[in-house]
Amino acid sequence: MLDWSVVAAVTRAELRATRRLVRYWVFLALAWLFGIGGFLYYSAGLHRSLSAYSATIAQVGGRYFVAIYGGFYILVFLAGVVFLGFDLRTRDERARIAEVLDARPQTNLELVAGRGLGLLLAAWLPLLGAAGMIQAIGWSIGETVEPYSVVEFVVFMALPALAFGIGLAYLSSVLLRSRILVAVANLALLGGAIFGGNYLPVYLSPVVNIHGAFSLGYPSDMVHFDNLGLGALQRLGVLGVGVGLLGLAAALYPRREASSPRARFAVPALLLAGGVAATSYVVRAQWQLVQNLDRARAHHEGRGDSPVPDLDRVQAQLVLEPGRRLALDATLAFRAPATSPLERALWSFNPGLSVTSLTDASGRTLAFRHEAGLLEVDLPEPLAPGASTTLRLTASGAPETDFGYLDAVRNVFAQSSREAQLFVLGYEPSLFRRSFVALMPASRWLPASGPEVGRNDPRRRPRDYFQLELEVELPEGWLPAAVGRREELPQTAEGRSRFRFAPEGPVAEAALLAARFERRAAEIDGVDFEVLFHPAHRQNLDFFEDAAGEIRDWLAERLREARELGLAYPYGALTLAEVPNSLRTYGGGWRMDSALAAPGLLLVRESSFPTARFDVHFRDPRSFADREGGMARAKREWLERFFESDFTGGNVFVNGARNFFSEITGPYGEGAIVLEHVLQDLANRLVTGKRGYFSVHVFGPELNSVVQQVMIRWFLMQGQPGQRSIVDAAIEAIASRPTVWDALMEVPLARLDPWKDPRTALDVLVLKGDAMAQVLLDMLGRQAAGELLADLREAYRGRTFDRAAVAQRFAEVKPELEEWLALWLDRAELPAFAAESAERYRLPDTAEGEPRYQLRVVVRNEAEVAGLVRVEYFQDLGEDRSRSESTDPLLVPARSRLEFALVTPHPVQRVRVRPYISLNRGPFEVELPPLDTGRTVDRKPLALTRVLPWEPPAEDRIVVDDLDAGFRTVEPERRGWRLGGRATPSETDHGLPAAPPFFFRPPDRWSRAEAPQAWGRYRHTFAFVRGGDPERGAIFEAQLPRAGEWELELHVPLAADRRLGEGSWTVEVGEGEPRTLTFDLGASQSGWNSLGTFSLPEGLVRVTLRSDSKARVLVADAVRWRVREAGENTAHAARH
Amino acid sequence: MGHERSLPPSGPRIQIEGVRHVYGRGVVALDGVSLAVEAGLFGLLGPNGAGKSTLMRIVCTILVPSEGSVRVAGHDVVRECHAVRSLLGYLPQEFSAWRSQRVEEVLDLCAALSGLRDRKARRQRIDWVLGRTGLAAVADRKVKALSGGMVRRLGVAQALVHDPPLLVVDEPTVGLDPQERLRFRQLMTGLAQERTILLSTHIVADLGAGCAELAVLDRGKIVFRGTPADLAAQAQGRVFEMTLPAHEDREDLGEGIEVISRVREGAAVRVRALATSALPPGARPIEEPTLEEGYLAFMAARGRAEAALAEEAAS
Repeated sequence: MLDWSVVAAVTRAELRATRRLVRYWVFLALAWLFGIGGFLYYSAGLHRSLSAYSATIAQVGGRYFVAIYGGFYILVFLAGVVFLGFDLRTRDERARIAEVLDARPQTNLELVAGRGLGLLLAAWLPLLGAAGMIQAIGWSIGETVEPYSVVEFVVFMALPALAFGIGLAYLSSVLLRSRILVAVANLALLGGAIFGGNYLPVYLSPVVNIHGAFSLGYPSDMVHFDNLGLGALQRLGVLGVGVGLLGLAAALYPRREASSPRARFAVPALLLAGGVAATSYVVRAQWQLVQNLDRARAHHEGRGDSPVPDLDRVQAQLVLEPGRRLALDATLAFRAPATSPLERALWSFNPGLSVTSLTDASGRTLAFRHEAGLLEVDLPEPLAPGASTTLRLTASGAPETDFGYLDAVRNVFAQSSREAQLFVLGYEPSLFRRSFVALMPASRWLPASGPEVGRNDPRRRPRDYFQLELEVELPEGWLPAAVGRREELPQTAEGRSRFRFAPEGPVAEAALLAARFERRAAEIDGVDFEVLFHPAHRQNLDFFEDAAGEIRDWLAERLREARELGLAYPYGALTLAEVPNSLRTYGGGWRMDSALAAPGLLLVRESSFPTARFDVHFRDPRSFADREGGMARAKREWLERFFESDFTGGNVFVNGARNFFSEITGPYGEGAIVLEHVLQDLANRLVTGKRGYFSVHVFGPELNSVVQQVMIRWFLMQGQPGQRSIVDAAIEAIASRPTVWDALMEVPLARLDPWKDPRTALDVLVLKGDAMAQVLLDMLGRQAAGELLADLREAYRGRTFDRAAVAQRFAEVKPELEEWLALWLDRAELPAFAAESAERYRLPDTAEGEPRYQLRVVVRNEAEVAGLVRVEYFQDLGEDRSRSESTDPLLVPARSRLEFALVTPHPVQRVRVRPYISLNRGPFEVELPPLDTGRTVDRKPLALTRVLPWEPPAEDRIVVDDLDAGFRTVEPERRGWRLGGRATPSETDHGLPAAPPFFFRPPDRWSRAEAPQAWGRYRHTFAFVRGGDPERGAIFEAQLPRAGEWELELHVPLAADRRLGEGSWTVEVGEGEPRTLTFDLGASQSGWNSLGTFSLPEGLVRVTLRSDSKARVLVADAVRWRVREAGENTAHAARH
Repeated sequence: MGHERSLPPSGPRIQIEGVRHVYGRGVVALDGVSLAVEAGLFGLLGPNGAGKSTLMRIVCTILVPSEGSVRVAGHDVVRECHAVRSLLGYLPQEFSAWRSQRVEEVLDLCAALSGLRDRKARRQRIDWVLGRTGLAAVADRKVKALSGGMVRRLGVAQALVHDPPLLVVDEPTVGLDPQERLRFRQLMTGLAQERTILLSTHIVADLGAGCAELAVLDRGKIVFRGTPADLAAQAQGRVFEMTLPAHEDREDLGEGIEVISRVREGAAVRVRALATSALPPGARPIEEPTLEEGYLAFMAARGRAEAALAEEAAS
């Protein structure tokens, strides 16, 4: 037994001794720096300043991320513990007091335990201080940490982690006896744990999750500590192992003791075994979670081809006892498929609910099997094709909240943490807690027809729409949210509340939320609009109170416009409800689309709107005084931007717009995935005018790089004309990747198999599908496009339509649209546009003396498929002002030339062609001839768009572009050893890593970027690399058709005064003994630069570009050869 | 702690029987040592490398003897080490403490480790021992700021802080200045009145007046056992003085003569020496040789005069 007075004395001495070590203070300072610094970064730096800008950013903050910056603190101190505990014995030997201690009667365990406890307190007590300080700072800036998560940090994360670190350090110090060895071994193990935490599958992570980040789940104000379970067990496991290691260190302490080894080793061994057993249990439980899902999926897959009932109506009574059980009494009216009889009715139904009775319409009990969430009901007699019947089902139990999304292409528990960054998007498919219930559709708390597998692929199975009537009984004070208006019914005799939902519109699924919500509601344009939120998150609703009128008006206008387009809101009520952070926000299937939307419901994570810091941006009302609409308008606009820039599935505009179309009807069969995307995107644009982007597939190792790309794109967009949102930047940066373009040109959309490469498939849909929706909108106009959707919705309300139906509607609205649809769906080829010629001149003034300018542009489409462009032109208004205008979509048939002419009151200074989707991949500039505004050309004004006869392009020059076969780069052999080697680029573009066109920090290996200023046949790209290394080069090879005097020109996308900087490039012309020129960047100009004339033989000619030591960047865009006629003269930019 | 923290009123406090200890590479440190230590100060004399520290460590339960047994107050040091440790105060040959700790903090921990649970009692003992060792003035000084002598005194203090009935001190005066040594001897003499002290040294003077019994250990064996007087008697008739003109004084006065000291007296030198055989001409025999001379004579008789002299000189 331990003499605790001895232990206490040793503890005191250790605490004292540790505090007197410089290294202790160094590590403490580092831990505070990382811990408190991390908190300040997340709270003051990110959340307080930026959360109001984006619902995505809002989710990153100090309040719910204690596991991250607290994890930093613990990790730093775990490293510190190594250096504070690595000389358990040797420090006494060094101090020459070891023998004195050895000759004293304390036990080794008392000494080691006392020291361990002292070190633990030395590490833990300041951590308490840090936690207190964090809360104090948080309080002062309005960014407090969720209190339960602080307890979690201090108790569940820190104590076991530190105990483990100390135990490990002491044991290794006893075994190895060399401080250096101990430090190296411990740091290696610590590093290994961190590495393992990143690379092991999530279900194995409890083994290495020493610091315990997120062990107890995602912090929440709404649900906490009522589901400790596995997380707490994992922490106990770590604690057990830590104390066991400490005990082992005592047992192996090199000082003789009279007690038997068995006595010394027994307790540590038990603790170790207990810790390992607890951890193993947690791992096993998580592994079983993966296995259960796999088993369930396999089970459902086994019934994938069975006929599926077509559900017509569901009437259900649900009795909720939150956290304990629910009871369901449901009557299901359904019919057999139109094409086959139904012998068994297959339903997906939550496996946690046990079916207590199942009867048919006549009350006969039916045989059934309910396994792995699949309920197979034997019908008394086969149901003839199209015939209908009813079933009555009663069931009760606690729903299995892990059940759901069986067909998801990613299971985070089976992936490594590095891959599974979508953990931040929540991980619990449903919640059934004492304080909150979120029965999501995928949990199948209501039976859904057919197995789960196949449900998310409209090519395989049509969505099953039905009418719902739902009664919910729940504890008094609780408020449920589902689809449709909530009608309050008389309470039960026990005083429990009852509510009824009976939406007019059909639904394909339903979610049910329930909690002690606070409610704000208003009727807007005949729709009951309500916000349900946690009582602790009232602040932002209060904050936006003065903008409520503005928001109501905005919503009313959207609802009215939708109604006028024939797309009236179908459910009578729309509820925006707050949900806890741990609720999984993404669904299943290949798409894993947002789960924050269900018919009639918009879900908002508590870390999003409810806790974002809008207040800091509206402190000074004076700054909004002169603004149109004042502060109320500003707040509404701010809120729009906030929700629009949610890339985590919470974009309420996109989610809300689903109710207007795809919750009511949808496509089925060939091309259904594309049609669903295009039509819903069109609905988004019509109803809310917003776009959105959500792909869980980017929540992987490349997430940081993706965010970086989006921000760069956003930054680059700031210099461009037109209102572009961060969503546009995200879509361009993510969905416009070279990989996506390559995939898009490989397979026609109708044959796209999204299950092979879901990420790319989704981006292909976004890239081409969004363009299709935009074309529809631009070609038809808003009213006609709305009517097109409304017609489809009305004709197929509560059922699905096929591609032929869409084609027919298209043809009815605009005949050529049918052809376009076929082209989009069945052809992978893209149009290829080039500006052939441009003219601009001044026309005689009008009779009123107003100046007139003529612009004529000929655009060629050199591909075998037709395409659409818009021509954007910028008029010079003088005084450095310009105005941008754009044409309607112009159809350019396959292999044709389109002339576009217009007369403007101001000279056109710039013309840009914007193809919708083409080989060009983006807009390109039209080279305009110089304009002499003082000279009038007496010609007839021309304003037209016409197709000209096809003529092959004139080939009087030989251009070698960076995308041509004649171009290649020379990269020197890598010298020396480099930690980690070179990272494989996530995106390559024609063999080179894709990079943003930034010159201020050029890449250190050849990369390719796109820029409108670059030369290109269709795509305007260039290759570039950091300058200064003469071994790096770019080679352009061309075949000269004949011997003669050839002028060489080099295309430079941006001239010296525009970011290329100083220095020069060398240009070698020819092989063997090439002629070497120096291209002075200071004298270069944007566009073609003549390098001189060379007398060259027929055949291959090579131009090699290199940089000198001063050049910051080497850019290889294109070279051009032009044969010189006798007597021609030209200036050139190179020195021979 | 569960053990009686006092020694039996009579009989040997430490009983060593046939102890042999062999170190790793076959180095025999102790070879059949048997010894009974009674109450009072017991001196263990011997040149460096004789095996004294090994024996001390075995007595203090730090080492397990290869053969033989040691009992302290009847407790076997191997099987009942915990009981033995609760009776001990031990000052090893090389002692220091954690440099960043203060004197009283070191003592407080040592007292607590020895089972003094009550904080007040600990405080009283610390004050007492600080007073006895003359460290009261530096009680709150960090160890790194102590002189070598103070550290040695701290060593004594930690060995005494829990008032052990048995004190084992190994080469306690190494590195101390003469004044500190004197002080230390007085302390040991005083302490020996109330407890058993096993003091190992190669410096004969360290035994002081309080030493009741002693043993000489040489090359791992007990070669002498008796009182200080018995040891001093070993030199009877063999120690002499002679006066030589300064110019005749030589380092080596001849075979069989070991010079103990030289005193210059004007133009002459008074030499005190030990003769292993017959006294030289002119020698004046000393009637009452000292303990050191006894030890030297004893060692000289064993042909180990050089070892004894070297350490005396070094001290």
